[in-house]
Amino acid sequence: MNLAEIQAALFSLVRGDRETKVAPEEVVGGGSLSPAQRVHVYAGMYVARTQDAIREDFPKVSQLLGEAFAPTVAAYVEGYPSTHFSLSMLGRQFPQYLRETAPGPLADLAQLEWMHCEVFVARDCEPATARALAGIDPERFAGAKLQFIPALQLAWLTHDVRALWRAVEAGEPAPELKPGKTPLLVWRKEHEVFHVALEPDEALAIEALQRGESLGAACEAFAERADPAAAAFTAIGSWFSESMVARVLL
Amino acid sequence: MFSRVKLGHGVGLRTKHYAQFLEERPEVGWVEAISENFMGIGGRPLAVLEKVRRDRPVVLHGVGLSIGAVAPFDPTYLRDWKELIGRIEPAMVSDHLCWGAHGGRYVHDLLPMPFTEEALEHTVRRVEQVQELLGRQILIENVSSYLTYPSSTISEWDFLSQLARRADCGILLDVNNIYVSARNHGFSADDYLEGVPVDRVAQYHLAGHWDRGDLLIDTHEGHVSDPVWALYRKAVRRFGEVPTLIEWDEGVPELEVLLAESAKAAQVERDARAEQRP
Repeated sequence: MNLAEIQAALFSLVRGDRETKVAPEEVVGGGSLSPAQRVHVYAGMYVARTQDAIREDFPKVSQLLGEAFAPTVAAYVEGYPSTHFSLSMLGRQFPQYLRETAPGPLADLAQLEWMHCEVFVARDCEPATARALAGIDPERFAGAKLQFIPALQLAWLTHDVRALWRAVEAGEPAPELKPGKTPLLVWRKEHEVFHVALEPDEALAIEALQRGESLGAACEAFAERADPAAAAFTAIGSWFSESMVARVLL
Repeated sequence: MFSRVKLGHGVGLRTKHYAQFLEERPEVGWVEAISENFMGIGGRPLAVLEKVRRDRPVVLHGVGLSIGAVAPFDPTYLRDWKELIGRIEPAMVSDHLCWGAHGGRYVHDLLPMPFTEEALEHTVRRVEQVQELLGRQILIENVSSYLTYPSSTISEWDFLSQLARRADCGILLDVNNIYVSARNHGFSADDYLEGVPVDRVAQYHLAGHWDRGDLLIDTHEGHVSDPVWALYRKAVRRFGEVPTLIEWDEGVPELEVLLAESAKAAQVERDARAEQRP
């Protein structure tokens, strides 16, 4: 066997790929332990390592899954093999996997936990202050664009899982959640990560700005409010005060 | 040639000790940071590393380069690694003599290399490629292994030594890994030490392992065992004073315990040096 053949065979054996046709003794030497036992050492570590990584990034979901956690992760890793050099990225498709296999609050909770993970280590960016808006000519204000910090993510979940998050944290029984589209915003201020549920119109405004639309266009999302301008200014003010805005582009 | 840096004794920077490192600035010669934990990111971990770096030398140690893999390097890995190195200006940069990626997938492990001429040629080219990209030499560390390949034709220490000479890189000699692999595969740890060129060894690693009887597992948990201390003493006598790291990654103890283990390594090193004097 050449180097490429050895690596292809052992990789498959360690991962426990079902389609593996190579036997351990074809790749690995024996001795006091058989080739299969030696491969099993690595295969066992692979399982333990992947379980630990997912447990670390999804502590609440893993707690709720209980005994189902290990088989769930095993099936996830088989279906979604790691394609990133960092083990810390192993869970990036776990919420998606749960959505496919068990849609509901658990998948939403997983998504919220993963957003926390990503936002916690997102690249740094000095946030802009509201003073960046103060100097803008009122006639040009509507045409200005806002760029949010990298440590900010918005997702529309199928349940408002904030109560579930709090319950797991407090060690209380999981509450019954009614389905309902909920935009959750996760962001980092200083080094701390927060999440908040948004009104749908504010979420739409943020999404419009993330697409590169102007403030004027984005604020059309508030048109249904009794005082759209006041609602827009309140929202914009909070984005600045919460250190969510990276820069104002004219 | 590989120029040694005089750093003394270091410990790994682990999340559990972040606050203590920032507030108490413990007396330690240098700090090791796992490269991948700080690559392509921001937030608290990177801020902590940068603050720690202001006080003392930092060494970057990787677990994900997969230097021996036939799979091509991940360009994102190389870009983020180089960026981190530029930012931290580490005293040394290292990774393992292993592979863990194949066909765009990862098992996040340090799988051993087959010790063949083909693998050696391949790994030499890869180390050269990396060193050219980084514009600096790297250290390659021997791993603990639990299997061997019938196709191997070279001893591990000969493979590592030839790699270091031909690629002009340094060797990070993990003394615990030598002991673990020697027990697992029935070779002599002394032969290993004797087979490695003195001028290439630029760093030692020491760690705890788990002896399950029929197999030793490199756990990075617990105190360094007596046989490993004895082997370290021999290493110091042969290679001299080399920066030494205590690795303790599972069941991470209080910082004081880790620092005490590092102080013990310093004492063992002094004793070994004293024994050499006429």
